[in-house]
Amino acid sequence: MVKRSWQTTSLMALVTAVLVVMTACSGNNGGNGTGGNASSEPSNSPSGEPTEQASEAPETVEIVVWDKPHADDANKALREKQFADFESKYPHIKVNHMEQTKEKEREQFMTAVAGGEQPDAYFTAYPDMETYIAEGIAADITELWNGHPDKGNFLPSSLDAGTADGKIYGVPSSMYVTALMYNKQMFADAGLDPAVALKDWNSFGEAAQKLTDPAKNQYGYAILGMDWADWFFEYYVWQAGGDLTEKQADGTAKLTFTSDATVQALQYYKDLKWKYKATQKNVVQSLDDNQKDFYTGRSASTVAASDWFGTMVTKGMDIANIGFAPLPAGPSGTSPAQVGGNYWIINPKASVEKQEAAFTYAMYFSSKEVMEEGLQFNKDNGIFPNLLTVRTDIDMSQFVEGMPTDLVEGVRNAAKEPHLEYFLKSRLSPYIVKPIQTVLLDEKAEPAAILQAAQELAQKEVIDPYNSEIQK
Amino acid sequence: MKPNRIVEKGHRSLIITAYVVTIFFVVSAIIPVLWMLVSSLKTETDILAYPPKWTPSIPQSVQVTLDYSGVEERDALFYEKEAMKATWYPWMKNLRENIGEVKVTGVRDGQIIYRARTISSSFHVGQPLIVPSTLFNETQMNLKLPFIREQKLSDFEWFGEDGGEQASDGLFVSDAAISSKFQSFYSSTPLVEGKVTGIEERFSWIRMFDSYLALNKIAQDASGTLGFFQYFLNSTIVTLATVTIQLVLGGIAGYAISFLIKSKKWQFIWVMFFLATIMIPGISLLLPQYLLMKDLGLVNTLYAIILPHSAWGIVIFLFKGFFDQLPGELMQAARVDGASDFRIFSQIVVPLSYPVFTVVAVMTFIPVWNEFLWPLVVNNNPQFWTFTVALNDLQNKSSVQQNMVMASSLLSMVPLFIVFITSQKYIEKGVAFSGVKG
Amino acid sequence: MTIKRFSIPWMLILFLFPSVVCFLLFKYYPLLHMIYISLFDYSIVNPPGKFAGLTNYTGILTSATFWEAVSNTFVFFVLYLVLTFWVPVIQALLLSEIRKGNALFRFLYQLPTIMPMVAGVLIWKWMYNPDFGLLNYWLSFVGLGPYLWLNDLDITKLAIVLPSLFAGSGISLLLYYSAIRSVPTEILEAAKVDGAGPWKRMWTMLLPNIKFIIIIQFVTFMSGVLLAYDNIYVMTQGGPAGSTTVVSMLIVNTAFQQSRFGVSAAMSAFMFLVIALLTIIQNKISSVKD
Repeated sequence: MVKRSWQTTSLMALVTAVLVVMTACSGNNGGNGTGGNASSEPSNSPSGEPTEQASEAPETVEIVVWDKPHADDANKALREKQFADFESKYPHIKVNHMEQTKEKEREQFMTAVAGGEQPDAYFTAYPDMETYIAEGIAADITELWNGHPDKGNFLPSSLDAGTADGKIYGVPSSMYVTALMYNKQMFADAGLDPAVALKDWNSFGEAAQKLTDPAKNQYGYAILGMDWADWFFEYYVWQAGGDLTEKQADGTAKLTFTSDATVQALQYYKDLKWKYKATQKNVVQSLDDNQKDFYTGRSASTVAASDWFGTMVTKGMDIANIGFAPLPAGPSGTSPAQVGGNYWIINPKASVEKQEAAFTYAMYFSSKEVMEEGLQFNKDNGIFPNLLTVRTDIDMSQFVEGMPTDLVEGVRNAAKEPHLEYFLKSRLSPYIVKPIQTVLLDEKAEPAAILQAAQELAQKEVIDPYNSEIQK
Repeated sequence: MKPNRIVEKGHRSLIITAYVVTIFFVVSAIIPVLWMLVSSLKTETDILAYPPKWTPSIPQSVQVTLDYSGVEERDALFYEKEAMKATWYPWMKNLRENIGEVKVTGVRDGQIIYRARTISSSFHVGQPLIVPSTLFNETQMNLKLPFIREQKLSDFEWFGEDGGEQASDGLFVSDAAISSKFQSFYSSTPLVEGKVTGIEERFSWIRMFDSYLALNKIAQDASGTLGFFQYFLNSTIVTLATVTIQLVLGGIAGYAISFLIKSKKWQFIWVMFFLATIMIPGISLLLPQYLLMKDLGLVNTLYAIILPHSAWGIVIFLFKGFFDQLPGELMQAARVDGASDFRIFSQIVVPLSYPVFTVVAVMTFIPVWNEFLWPLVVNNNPQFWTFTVALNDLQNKSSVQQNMVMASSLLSMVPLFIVFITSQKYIEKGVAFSGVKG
Repeated sequence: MTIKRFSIPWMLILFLFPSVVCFLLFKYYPLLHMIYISLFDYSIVNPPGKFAGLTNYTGILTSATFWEAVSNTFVFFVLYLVLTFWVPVIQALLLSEIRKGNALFRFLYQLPTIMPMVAGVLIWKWMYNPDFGLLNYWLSFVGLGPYLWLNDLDITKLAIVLPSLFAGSGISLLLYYSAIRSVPTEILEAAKVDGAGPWKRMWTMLLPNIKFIIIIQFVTFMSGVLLAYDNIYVMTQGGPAGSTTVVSMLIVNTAFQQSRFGVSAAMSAFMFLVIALLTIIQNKISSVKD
């Protein structure tokens, strides 16, 4: 007994000793080894290849881009071909493509930035641009952009969200526009003419009510009430002729939560839920669940982006059944559509050569040839394309053959009145989501009163500090 | 029960209460687990059904016969594409139906010329790539066939224009739900040239388990050359190293505080030194710890996951509490005999403490195995991902459905399952903490 | 005697040293770094950014949003305490009375514990679903409901705690059970002879014996509940209307959504102090009772 346990213990001691030694050793080895292949510290590249590159004109630049396609990406084959094309076209730029997971990517990116491991080019969505520009995560590429021959071929509006104080921080990559997506069959079954039903707030509310039938397990409008609720809610404020915030001439922000437009919009949200009873029961369900309700034929309509059709049809929705139209106009008689999309941002801490290389890379992927190649690939492979492009010189009509014309038309119509998301969204979001959720959950809540409270809170906790910072 | 034993007053009520309460809690605890098991076998439609169903519905095997009599003779490639079109397109059109497999048989003049078979796991894995939408065109299958072949999504057997066996007679197009939907697809499109002479469907309960097969396929695709084994190995290394470090370091530190420090005050101070660390919000250390690992050059190594686990305050607290109640006389006697602390620890303390070591090991194993955010942040190179990170990534793939999420979660429970079963007998002995004195 | 007192306790140093190094390096150094961050208007691109003194702290202390999160956190704490903490104690006490099927019950108790958290929460979300959920379906048989579990400001907190009542007891149950098993049978027999009935023995002999484990468990329970994040995030993301936004969620959002790492670190430091204070108080109370 004693002997055996002595052996056990010595074994354990041995294991620990080995572990400690291994740990100690690899503290140096592991660090250097992985540091070398995973990253591209400025100090590494010169020491690596000076001898053989000396004769050639451009020195080899190594950049890191987090854009490796996932194994299940339908565009994987195309992407890999394009990577190879880029390398053969620009042999002096060596690109390390890294893969990002689909969850907690924000935490992953931010810690990498903090650790000095920010990728040289990174794919960023519109709403993040505000923060990334303010934080200095996106490099100022105004000079590079202005010196590029291709710059005139982009939609001027595609630059808006990536521009601050006249400086450009992002290479436009893709764009989408949002509007109302509806199920044609369900409208027809209820005897509704979309053109009439989607005319204004009232007609839509009544139509949505008519489309709601618990017996058939269907409802009129999938409302977005989870913690991104402000995303679609802002459209209703615009339709009522206002916005959630105003950017003043001096760069400071002004809240307009208590404006008539905002109050009307919130009242309408409340009506959709309580007066027309036209929404899903679980008003705070996720965006995925909203989409699922739509493609499974439970909800007759929902706000959607023009690049979602692909998802709907991949999940089994009949393309001929999808209708897409500007949201019903509000009291102001207008219905602006939000535009969103993605930019490539460049690492401001990278060396000038790397920034240039990363910019070249981004411009290559936003070039006419590459984008058209992508659209052609979509067409050949039966992938529903994004019908909106950031470039002015791409003729979409040659890639949409065989697609429902009214859908293509719907996207064009929606894009007529583009609107960017409200100013300071990243900071204000929780303050406006709260009143939205409150009216959706509490029939007795007073829109004007709770907006007043929200405005006071946001003024004190966000706007005052922000403005005093700006005015300094 | 011994017959001669006198049943005490209150004994019966205690036993009855014990059984009732235990059974209530055990049933409540396993309902979610059972629901998960059942859900892993259900289709999406089943999962959303109301009233909720405890039994998954059985998938259908759809068998289609295409007749090419009178059609111009072509090569095997043509027929393979035919079979693939006849399988993948109508299936995509009826994505939400509970189809377990589709078999297509090609017939010419009463002879079978080919057979093709696709099971639902292959369909669901391949669907985003092969049929991403219902926009079908003439040339699409030319691009897709290489993928189908490469990933072995559909079986195709070619018998030659006249080499096959006799086709069975009495074919008919069934009027069952899925069959008629397939029929309406074939009659609405010129994409399939063969003439449909028969569509039948049968129950195929074995295809209920395709969520597990699909998972296996996706895992192979996703992990590429590394294989899922790599992730499993990473997790095993991380977990075992962590448990070992905690048992050894925690054990000796607990021993030191319990036996080598005499002053109660200092004991308390030391315990608090270690214990205070559990009060730090873990998430807020994410950034500082990452920067530390970067300074140590350990980013993208397994050490970066293991080392922070060497500092768990609760482990030392547990050991100290356990050692405190060990009979001091034994230690005293050994010390008088001139035994060193190493000997006392290894020959007296450890043998008496198997149960507490087991408890600590089990306690450590589960959270370390399930840890997600830190391993992901500190190692963004898939080569160093743990099983849990890989599993989460897998569950977010577009081809993954709810039933596969459930199936993968069930599978990930297996290692923990084994740990629990093997640890049972050690825990059974009991861990005495500050035992009842006098 | 004097000589002995001043000799260097080599063994003590040797045994404590590895742990001390690990704790200093992997816990206290990052903790100090976090506090350092909290003193800056921290910039992750050009660290540390502008020195802010204590403004991050005064900022959070005057923020209604922060205090609401603090209050939510403590409501959760009370709910968990009242609804879940004592459950495994009772379960273990009663389980120890069971002979037939004991191993099986013990095993079944562990099953939810080893279920991956995300899957467990997802299952509960399905059970709560107002359209196809199992829970409302069953409650309808006894004439209750339907409840909008995750949509009702009054019961959402409860809906988050409820799963832990039924599925959160695995490890603690194991510890308690183990401790009960170690009570020597002679003591119980002696009590029996003294005329103590089985119920009384349970309360007076078994329960005191697991007191130490209860204290250990309470310490982990307290920090675990006050810092809970994952299960709430998966279930509600802090909604609806902020009713389940706890401090740890605010810490994550402030840092990673809004890039205000300094403010986020100040919140973390605050929570650390609060929990440390509570632990010391709890320790004092339990040692007074001794």
